[in-house]
Amino acid sequence: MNFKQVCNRAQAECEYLSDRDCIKIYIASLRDNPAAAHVHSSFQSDIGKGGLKARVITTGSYGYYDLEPMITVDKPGQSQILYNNVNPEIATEIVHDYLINGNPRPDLAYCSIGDDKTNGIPNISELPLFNLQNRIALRNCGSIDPEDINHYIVRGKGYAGLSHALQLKQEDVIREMKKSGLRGRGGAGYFTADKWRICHDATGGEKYSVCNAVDADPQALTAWLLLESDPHSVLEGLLIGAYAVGASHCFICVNAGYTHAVQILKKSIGQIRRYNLLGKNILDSNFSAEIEVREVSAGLVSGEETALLSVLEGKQAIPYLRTTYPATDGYQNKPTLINNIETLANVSAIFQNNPEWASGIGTGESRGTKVMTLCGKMSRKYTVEVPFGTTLSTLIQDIGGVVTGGKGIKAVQFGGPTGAYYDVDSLDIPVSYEAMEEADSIIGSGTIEVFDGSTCAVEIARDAIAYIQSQSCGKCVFGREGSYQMSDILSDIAGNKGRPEDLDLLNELCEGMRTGCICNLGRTAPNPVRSSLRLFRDDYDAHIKEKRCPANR
Amino acid sequence: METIKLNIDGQDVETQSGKSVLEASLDAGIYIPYLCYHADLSPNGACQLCVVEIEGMDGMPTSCTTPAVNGMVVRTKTEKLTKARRLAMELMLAGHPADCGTCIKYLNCELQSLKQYLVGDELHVRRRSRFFEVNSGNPLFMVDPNKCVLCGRCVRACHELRGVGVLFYKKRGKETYIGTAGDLPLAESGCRFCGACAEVCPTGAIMDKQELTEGKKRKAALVPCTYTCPAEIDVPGYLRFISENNYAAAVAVIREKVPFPGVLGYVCDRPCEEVCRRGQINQPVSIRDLKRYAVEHDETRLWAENPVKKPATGKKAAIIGAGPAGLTAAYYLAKQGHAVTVFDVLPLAGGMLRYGIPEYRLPREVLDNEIKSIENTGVEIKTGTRIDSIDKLLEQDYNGIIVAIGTHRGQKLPIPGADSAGVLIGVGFLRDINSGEKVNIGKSVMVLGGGNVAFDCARAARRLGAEQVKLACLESRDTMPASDDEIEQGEEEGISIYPARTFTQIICENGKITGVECLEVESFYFDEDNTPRIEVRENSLHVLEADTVIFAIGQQPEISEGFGLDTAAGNLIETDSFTYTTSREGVFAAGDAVNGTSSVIKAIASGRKAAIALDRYLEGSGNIDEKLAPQAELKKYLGPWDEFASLERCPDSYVPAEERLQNFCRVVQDMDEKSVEYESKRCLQCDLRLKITPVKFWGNY
Repeated sequence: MNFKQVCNRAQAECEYLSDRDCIKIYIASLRDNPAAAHVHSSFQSDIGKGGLKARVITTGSYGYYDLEPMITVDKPGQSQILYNNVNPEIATEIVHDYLINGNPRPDLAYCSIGDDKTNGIPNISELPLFNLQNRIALRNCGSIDPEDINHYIVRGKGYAGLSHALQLKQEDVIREMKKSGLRGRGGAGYFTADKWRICHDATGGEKYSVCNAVDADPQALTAWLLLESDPHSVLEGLLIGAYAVGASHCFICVNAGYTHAVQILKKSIGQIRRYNLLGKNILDSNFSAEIEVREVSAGLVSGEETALLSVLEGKQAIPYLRTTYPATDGYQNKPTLINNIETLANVSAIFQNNPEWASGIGTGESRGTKVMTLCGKMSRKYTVEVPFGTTLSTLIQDIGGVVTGGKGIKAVQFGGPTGAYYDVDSLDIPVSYEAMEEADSIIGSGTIEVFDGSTCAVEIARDAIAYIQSQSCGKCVFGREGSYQMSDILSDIAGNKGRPEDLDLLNELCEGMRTGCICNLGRTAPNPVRSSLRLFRDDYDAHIKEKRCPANR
Repeated sequence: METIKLNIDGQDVETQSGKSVLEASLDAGIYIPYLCYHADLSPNGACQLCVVEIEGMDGMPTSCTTPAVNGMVVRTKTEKLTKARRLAMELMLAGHPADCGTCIKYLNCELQSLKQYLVGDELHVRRRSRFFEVNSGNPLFMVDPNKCVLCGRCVRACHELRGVGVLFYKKRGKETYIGTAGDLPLAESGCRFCGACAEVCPTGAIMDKQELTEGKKRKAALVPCTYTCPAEIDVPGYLRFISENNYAAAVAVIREKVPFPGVLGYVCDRPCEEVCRRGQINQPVSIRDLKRYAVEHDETRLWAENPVKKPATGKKAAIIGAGPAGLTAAYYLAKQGHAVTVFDVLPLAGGMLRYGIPEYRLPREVLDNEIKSIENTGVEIKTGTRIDSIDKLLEQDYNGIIVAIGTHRGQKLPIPGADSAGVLIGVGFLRDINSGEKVNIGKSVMVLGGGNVAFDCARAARRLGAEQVKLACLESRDTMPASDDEIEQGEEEGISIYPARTFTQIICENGKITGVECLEVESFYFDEDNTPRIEVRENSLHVLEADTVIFAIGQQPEISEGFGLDTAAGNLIETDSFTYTTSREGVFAAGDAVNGTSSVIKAIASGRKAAIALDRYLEGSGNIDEKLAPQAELKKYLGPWDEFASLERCPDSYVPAEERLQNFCRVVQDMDEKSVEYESKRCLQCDLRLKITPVKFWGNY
């Protein structure tokens, strides 16, 4: 089956998607939200009763969790309208008032999507939550049925990217990747094309392509969202990468706790096989590949490349010190390409469009966008995607909406558990690999956490290190003992039992961990402590010298 | 493999490609401190002690994980490195017990050695106690997680080296430790008890249990079967061949040390099984029975293909006594090229193997075959010849002599009635039976004595038709010197045992024995002069009925007047225990004649050593080693086997008792081939542990 045949078949199986006369109602929420099912049945029955030509579709999530179930109503001839927090009663009202009687109910609507301004309903382009985002990886999340490959193909240019790539030579695929300027979204920010080149050029037999879909950072929801809402964008990216380097066996390492995600993933793999997008001679080309799903128990360290390789090889999820790249010596010592799930979702978008399009977004050496989950003292704790160059303060104020109960922002941690802290005065920093590196910090998972004034810097750092210590695999001395000692010291300081020498030891341990740990988790673990000491020295002094906590409780 | 040149601390060093910077440095004698590195394991960079500075590389990479590259310039001793190493060391010591002095590993501990090299006594990091329980519930090994520094060697040894994989990194609260899945005991976790973890552990975290190793040399503690065997037969070696169904190779391994594998397969008292480490887990490996099976299924006689046979030396050696000690000595001396003649007073060769041990314990064909093989090396055996004096022998131009006359004179107790008719001496009784002579015994036989010889007499008496056979001895039931299976089989054959008795007189009426008067013994011991001191129970005098009494209470060498050698206590030949020399130059002694009545394997081993001594005396090399078995490829990899620890020993199997009593046919039954394979695989392969590369301490560089 070639790509044209695939598209034809998808169209045929989902005629309603292209049917201009059919009303479409998309229900977006996370799988484990029980309300969505009730809303679905409510719409179904009301539409039936009303005798309407309509289709109710359950999609994945947009990432706007407390607005869900979020409904998109696509009425022929009208702009699409989004409704938030829909329940069965509201569903009935929408069917009755809007679909039958033409009143879109501005009081219930969140916004409209499209050019014409629907009376009383804000347009999506007016809302900062939307107009500050540029959703590439998350492009389809919430608007397609993740369990129906036809949606991805018909509405999402699905697998057009793979089809395009398979018509190019491997070197040209890599060249296009280079033009896009895409950098690994797993945290390290290595240029994706460079990694592909190294793996492509490596000799040594069979090659492997691995997708890291673990969400090692417990507060990051990128993999969860992508797998539950748009798994095919990941699979397509995984296959493009495999083709580029010459790998025929792929692994997706999924967080074992993401039960729904794993199910949807396995179902999706079955679907692509039926469409000749997996197996032998994909899309009638010479490229053959298989994908295997592997569950990995959650944990901060399980997102490390070498820990993943260990798990794939049947060992404990413990990193090892590598002297060569996995791209040349990885799974069973064979060249192994490891890409983060967000990277792969970008890859498929790039090849579905063109590399220049992607490189047109972003700043400096950081092209494209970053998915981030907002948490802490914010009103909109959503998963969003913004172009590189957006500042932290824009993200927090305009998108997240700070909520501090009058106690002000104390600190913002960016990048995940081993990201550095920023204080109120340093939030204008643009999110980019260069800026973070200069600030001695990381992009990491991109998670943003806001702490308010009800806590003090010492307590924040203490909790951060306590978590890191609990996640330490225990293998190397600096990771294991360094985090243990730091945890004890910060506890003592927070408990007003600290001494000035403790700060010297803290600094020494930070330095030791930065160079002596054998994985990136350990090497970046000192970031919270170092940034905290640099920005909030007064808090430490208060605890140590004055035996008091400066928090505003 | 290409040669690589690099510069370490200003010194030009050469190494092979594939080596790490650490290995290149250590090989050149330049010490870089290390703890988690081990030559047999992949490096992991956990301890961070081996850090170095390399020109052109940032930071302080670990030299164990950095491949040596041509032209590298390495510095191993800088201030930055010293600081970093000290911090790493202190952090490892932070949770480690502070007191070295009370630890069993004291002065044998890599951590302690490194501490001396790298830090002072005061740590500037915080110390803590980790409060793990010491685990002494596993067989063989003691685990103290408080001493563990998480070097990870045991995990790598278990997973990578041995391929078993029962140890993992685990967490309990904030503390990391090494444990099994579910914290189950090792035996329930699939552990193979190979000891690799204890071997590589640099601290006292995993150690062999002290009670098993105390006072023993390392090899004897770790591979006790081989090193307890008086002849040092490579037990794990031949068990390994048996597990591969390669019986010919197994026999070849055994024959490298002894010329009587078949005999031993029947009658060895198996000191190896007593100390077999498998026995600490459940039951020892059935080593003797496996040996017997291998001998009886050796179809190709591989051992006979490359034996040592040195050219004739022109020297003549005489051996007095064709028992196990004498024949063994003769065998090795003949192979060294000497002309050997063995003299024995009895009509056939074999000594106690033929004239003491009854046929139901040792079938005669087995013995005859092995004596034939010895004769085939050129040994001349002159039976029916008594040697009364050493001098006469020396006049016959023998250049050296070994006296291996055994202990063929049985003793009687000096009690009233001991000279009555119907009182027999065990040694003579057995000799007559084994010579095919008719023996007269009554219906009710009482054997005095608690050793194997006593049981030989009792069980033979039963087979000759004695309806009632009693066996009475000084020792208590649990300290009877006879082996457990003799006692068990004896009882099955209807022998009644009366332990803890001393005998006051043999009662006769009208010239016929009616019984033995006994006293019950409370306790007995040997005092400083080795005299037995017996404490009897008051008012315990009683009579045990019998019409025949057989004394089997001890034996001494039968030495003629004027033989010409000094004797020691017990009429044993006075012999130097290291050089095997006697009071006459050129005359050596071996076997029971030197050690007192003892085991067959001890006699064989003794004969071997006496042969070495005599060979040296005759200006030979004293090297009687031979390589008969194929070079075994010692696999380091064992692989997982979940139920390994629970594999039970194949029970010994014997002909049923009523059948046994009908004749003198062999009583032991063989395992089938599948059971043999199974049983041999129960072996822990303790010898693999000795192949692990030993670690050098910094003082050795």
